[in-house]
Amino acid sequence: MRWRHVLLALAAVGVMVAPASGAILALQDDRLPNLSGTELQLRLDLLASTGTTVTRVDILWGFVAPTRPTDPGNPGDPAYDWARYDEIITGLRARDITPILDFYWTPKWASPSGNKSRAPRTADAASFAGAIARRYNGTWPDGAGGTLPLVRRIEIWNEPNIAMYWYPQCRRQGGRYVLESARAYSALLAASYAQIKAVSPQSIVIGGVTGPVGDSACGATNSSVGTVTFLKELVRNRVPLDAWSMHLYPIGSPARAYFIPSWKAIPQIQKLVDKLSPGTPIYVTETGYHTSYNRYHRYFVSEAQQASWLTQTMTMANRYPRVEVAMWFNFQDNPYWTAGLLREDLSQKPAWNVFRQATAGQQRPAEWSR
Amino acid sequence: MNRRTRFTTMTLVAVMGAATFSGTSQGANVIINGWGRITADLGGGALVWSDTAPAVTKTFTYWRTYTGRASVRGSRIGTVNKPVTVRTSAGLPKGARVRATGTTRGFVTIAPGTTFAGPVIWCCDTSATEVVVSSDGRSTAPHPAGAGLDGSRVRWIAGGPGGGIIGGANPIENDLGATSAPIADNPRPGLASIATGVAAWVGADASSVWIGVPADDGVHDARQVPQGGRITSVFATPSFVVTTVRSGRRNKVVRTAVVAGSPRAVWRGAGTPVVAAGGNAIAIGVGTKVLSSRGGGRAKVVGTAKGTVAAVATDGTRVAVFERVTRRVTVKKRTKTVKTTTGRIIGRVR
Repeated sequence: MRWRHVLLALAAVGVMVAPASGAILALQDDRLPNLSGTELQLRLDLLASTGTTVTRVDILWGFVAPTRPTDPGNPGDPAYDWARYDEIITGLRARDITPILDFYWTPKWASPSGNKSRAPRTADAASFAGAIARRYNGTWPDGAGGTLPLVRRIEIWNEPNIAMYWYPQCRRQGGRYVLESARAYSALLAASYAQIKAVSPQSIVIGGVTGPVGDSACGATNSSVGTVTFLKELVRNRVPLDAWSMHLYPIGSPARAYFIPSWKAIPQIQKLVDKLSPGTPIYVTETGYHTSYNRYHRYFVSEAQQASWLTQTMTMANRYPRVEVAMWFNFQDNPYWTAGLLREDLSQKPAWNVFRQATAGQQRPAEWSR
Repeated sequence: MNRRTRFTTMTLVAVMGAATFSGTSQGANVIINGWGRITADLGGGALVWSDTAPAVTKTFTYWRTYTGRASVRGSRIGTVNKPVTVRTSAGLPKGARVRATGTTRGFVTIAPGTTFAGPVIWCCDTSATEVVVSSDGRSTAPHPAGAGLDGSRVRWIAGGPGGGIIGGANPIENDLGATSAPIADNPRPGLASIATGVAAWVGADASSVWIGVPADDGVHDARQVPQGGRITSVFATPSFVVTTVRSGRRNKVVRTAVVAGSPRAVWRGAGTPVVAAGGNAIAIGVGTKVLSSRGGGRAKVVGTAKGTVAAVATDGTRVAVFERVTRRVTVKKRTKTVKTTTGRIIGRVR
């Protein structure tokens, strides 16, 4: 009897000291939305062969809804074309890969200026967020007698603190420039949250999704706003969210880089996020290292460094228990983005093997299986 | 349609707020923070320069090579604009070179390192953004040793384990389909140069320079011209090639006519010279002295710099100098000495 007590006590201690399963190392392939049919299936097989159990899919709103839907909250509205995403999400589910969905790219009809990076009208974008959640809430018919898979995690926009994805960032008020993007984004996040939860209560609404920009103030030529500045405005507006997302492209190794945002800045971010909701999980839905210079990312490392710093990225992610996922971006190089595990010719960089080894020993928590 | 094809160049620029570009124009001067490694060129009414140094703000995490340009009117230097910034932690950048293209203040720049190939970049397209002509991250990639504009085509000479190559592309006409062809010998790091109709490089024999006519399928009529010592730098123009040569404890600047192929020393001395050429002239910097040589004649003093000459440039008429100086700066009642490099037009070719 005494031994049973001792064993139970040890077991309890074991539970208490057992390390958390750690952040999930995941991988995004931005070519997925360009493919269909056999090409897509082969590509998904290749993605699955990396061992990733989580990925991220960009839903390009302008592609899904080239014309204004009559009933925008209804994913069955004839103006919507979900074919490519149904195929991707079904293909991911078949391979037991959990997607995180994000959406951006304002359609012409929803853009006050017709420009795809123009900040959308809140109601239009929030209705689209609701339509995504409804289509992928696990009950929507797939047209073949079954249902489309459930996707729980939805990111609201992509890098709304960068003018390329959200314009304008600042506006002139009186004699000075004031932050506009975070104010408008706060409204979108709040409206999207309500729409998503109404049709899919189990959904996890991810806010922020901030691009890798340091702290900054608004000015005449502002093309981006710092992550911290942006987050502070969201805190001021008391936005609802279930997880905070940000993108990290550190200048220097994951352990040494100190610019904001970098891994070392996570505690500072967490403190701010706690003001919204204590203990909110942190998702790093883009990170990586480029292996050659390109005009869109002017910092690069060697291929050997990339491999080594991928390992270090996970060490840093695991240092902060609230970081649930670290998404490597991207799967394959293109002339404008050279942070892939694969080169443009599909040959493997040293990071390919490091990634596979890391994912081989990784357990995806049960709550991440959908 | 890949997402990143639409990514802004601004992102990283903003990330690097703590390490902003240091080239500014102040009256007739370009002011660059620190004493980085400088190369320069003058042409098409523009002064262009590259500046390589470790980027140290809080702790060192990377190296950076800035390439800047400014218009030049008479001896006045206009506003510094559109810098190209190459940042890396891949290793020590060595051998960054910049050449003015002579049109719309354009330039071709390379930023190789001791252990990585680095990019070949042409500046700039109609949106005033640089075009990456070549950028290869493989450990076996050939390292660019020199680059320039040959007519309307950007060409570069590179060396590596597979031997030497000449690459080419035409970003000016938006044709980035690069050509690559083998060349004789394997260029030494930093010892190659391209000008319209001329390719020059130094291979296994460090005392001879290869000179030939660049083309998509190789370098035609390439021949080796002995320079009488170990070559330490090469600069090609459409009509002649300039080398700096070390022989024992002495140095010399040698001008070799492209057609005649006859080398002639235009300067000799104990100091280590930095050179550039343009028009029919050569600019030479040694210690604090700035000299020029016109038409192959002996170099004559143009002026004396305020500090050690880091780089010179000439368009055949004017001579520009980048000099390393120190300045006393008072910030919040604390005075300290800061190192700066000043670029200016120092005089006319003599």
